[in-house]
Amino acid sequence: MSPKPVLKRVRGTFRAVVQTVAPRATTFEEEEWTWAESLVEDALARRPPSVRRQFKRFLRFLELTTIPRYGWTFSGLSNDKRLRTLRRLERSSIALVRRGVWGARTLGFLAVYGQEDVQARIGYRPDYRGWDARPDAASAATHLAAEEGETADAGRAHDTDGGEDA
Amino acid sequence: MKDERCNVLVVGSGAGGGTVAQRLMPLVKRGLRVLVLEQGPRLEDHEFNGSEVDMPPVLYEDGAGFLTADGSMTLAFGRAYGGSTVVYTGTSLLPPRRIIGTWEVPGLDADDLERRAQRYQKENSVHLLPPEKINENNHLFVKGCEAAGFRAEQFPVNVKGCRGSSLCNVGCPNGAKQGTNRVQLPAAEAGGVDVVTRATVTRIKAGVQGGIAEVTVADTTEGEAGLPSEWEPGEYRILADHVVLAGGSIGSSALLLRSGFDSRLPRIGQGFTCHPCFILVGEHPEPISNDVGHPKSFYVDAAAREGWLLETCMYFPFVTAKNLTGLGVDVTGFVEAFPRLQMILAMVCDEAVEENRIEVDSRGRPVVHYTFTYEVKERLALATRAAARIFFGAGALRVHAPLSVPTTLTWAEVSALNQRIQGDNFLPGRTSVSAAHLMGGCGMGHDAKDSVTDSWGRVHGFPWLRVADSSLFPNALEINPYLTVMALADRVAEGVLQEYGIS
Repeated sequence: MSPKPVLKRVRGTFRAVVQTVAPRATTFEEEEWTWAESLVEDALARRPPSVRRQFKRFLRFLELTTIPRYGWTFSGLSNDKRLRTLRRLERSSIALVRRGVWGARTLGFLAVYGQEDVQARIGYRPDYRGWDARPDAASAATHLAAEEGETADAGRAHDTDGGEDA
Repeated sequence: MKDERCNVLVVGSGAGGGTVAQRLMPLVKRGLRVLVLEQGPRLEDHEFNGSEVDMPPVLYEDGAGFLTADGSMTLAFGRAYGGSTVVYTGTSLLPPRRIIGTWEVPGLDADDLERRAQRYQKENSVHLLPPEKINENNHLFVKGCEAAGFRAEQFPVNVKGCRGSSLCNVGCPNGAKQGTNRVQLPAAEAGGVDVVTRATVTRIKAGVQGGIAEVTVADTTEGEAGLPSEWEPGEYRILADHVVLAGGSIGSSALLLRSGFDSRLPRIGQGFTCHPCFILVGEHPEPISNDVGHPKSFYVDAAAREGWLLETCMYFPFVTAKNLTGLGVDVTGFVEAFPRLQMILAMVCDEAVEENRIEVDSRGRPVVHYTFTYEVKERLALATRAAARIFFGAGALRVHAPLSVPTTLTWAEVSALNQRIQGDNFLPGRTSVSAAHLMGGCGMGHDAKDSVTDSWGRVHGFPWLRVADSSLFPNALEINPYLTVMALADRVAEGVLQEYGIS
């Protein structure tokens, strides 16, 4: 049986964290948020219940911790003030708080850069066919190798027996 | 509970377990039974889809998110048919004589280890990639090293028919990397060795003759990657004349601890080391080829002199973001420039210290305690400075340096690297650090007071029990360890064969 969703009651805070750690998320449409949250829920579902509870507690703590300083909850602040808050907390003398920020930022990055569409938009385009799929890259690399004369470890010959690549 | 019987039980199928499995094939020819148990799944070729989201939960322990007890470091290790050899980059360096000598293990000879490792170099098609198959991310490392005064050496790699997908760390989609899942295990199975996947050994104990392993075989869930186990899901008790543990540093140590062997062997779990690493990036003005081609072709070895190494690398967008330090544009400014990124892995040598050890919790799950010593933090700073010089020497406009405040360095600051990058800036829980070379926990040595096994992997006081993985290392190896693991496992297997009169 799948564990209960974690983000249901802390969605606002979570989205605010994601937009702060990865500003690209400020332009996310609802469909992208759906992807983002499913990636994070899937990742959390594989973690022990204690980790899921800690994450939810940290988001609740984060939401309220800004009230004394700014008079607003975390999710109600501007991106600048949220970033300042997270930067202060990631240097907290309390290791648990630093760990909370690190965990939240990690899931925030997963929510954004774990999406294949986002990866394609930033220009990450691996292909299982490797060089065959990227003749442009192959030619640039060959040019650079020739230009440099491949001086690294010049005393060692490239093995022509060990593998099919040589 | 179902009962099974075998002559030799091997726990784990990575560099150690896969090697032992293949070497014990002569026993099968004699009508004896060799059984390998692997906790992770066996994947079909088409299931390696190259996704950094889909593959880690299938191939890595805790989805590559296993953290040390205080949450300050991520430890990456594989759990699949082939263990960590499915997810490494195949860099194949011989056991370093300098280090083997400092281990001072009675009966362990550097020449002997080298001979054995050379055999696996050949068997696994280890060679240097030709220049035209090396991408710009790697060429720029060489160029940067020349400019900064470092000597770049080329990694021999164990690939065969490499197409340059760049996806080694999530399992090669082309089956090119010659891990134990491609070489030793298929050979062993063809030779009659049984391999059972999705089988977790929960406990081992001494039997009347040999050992007894309690095993849980997991069922598959709907939509899960990998083939079902070769056995029916359920609980098993396996009687074996000999048991060889090859579950890796954490796996083998945790199994012995939760089985209560520490009452007679107090060194179990001690001596853990791991080569802590930073992923560093430099941004170039123009796009470079970085997501095509083998990711790890060159390195700089300053281990003997200053305790650090630099290796080329190329990780995926989420992994890259996670492993940089900081928040917002400090990180995303680099990740969003992915096609222009050069990447270097800064890896430092740690040492076995009392604080760093493996334990188990009340449910028998491994807990790794790790404290960053002053030396490790200073070495991380030295490695980061060297990497920054290489990035700028290669033409990078700016560099992400975790031990600098702020973390972004520009070309204009190149003369101030020593001041800007300081070990004191390391803050556990904030500074992102990871490790993939997990070593120690069942170290070799003289007797039970100073170690867990002898130089042949025999556990002190338990003649039926052996260890054959990186947990045997009494201290850090200071290079990528898999060929050393294979060489040690080869010795362990030889010892088992001798028990049956085969030399």
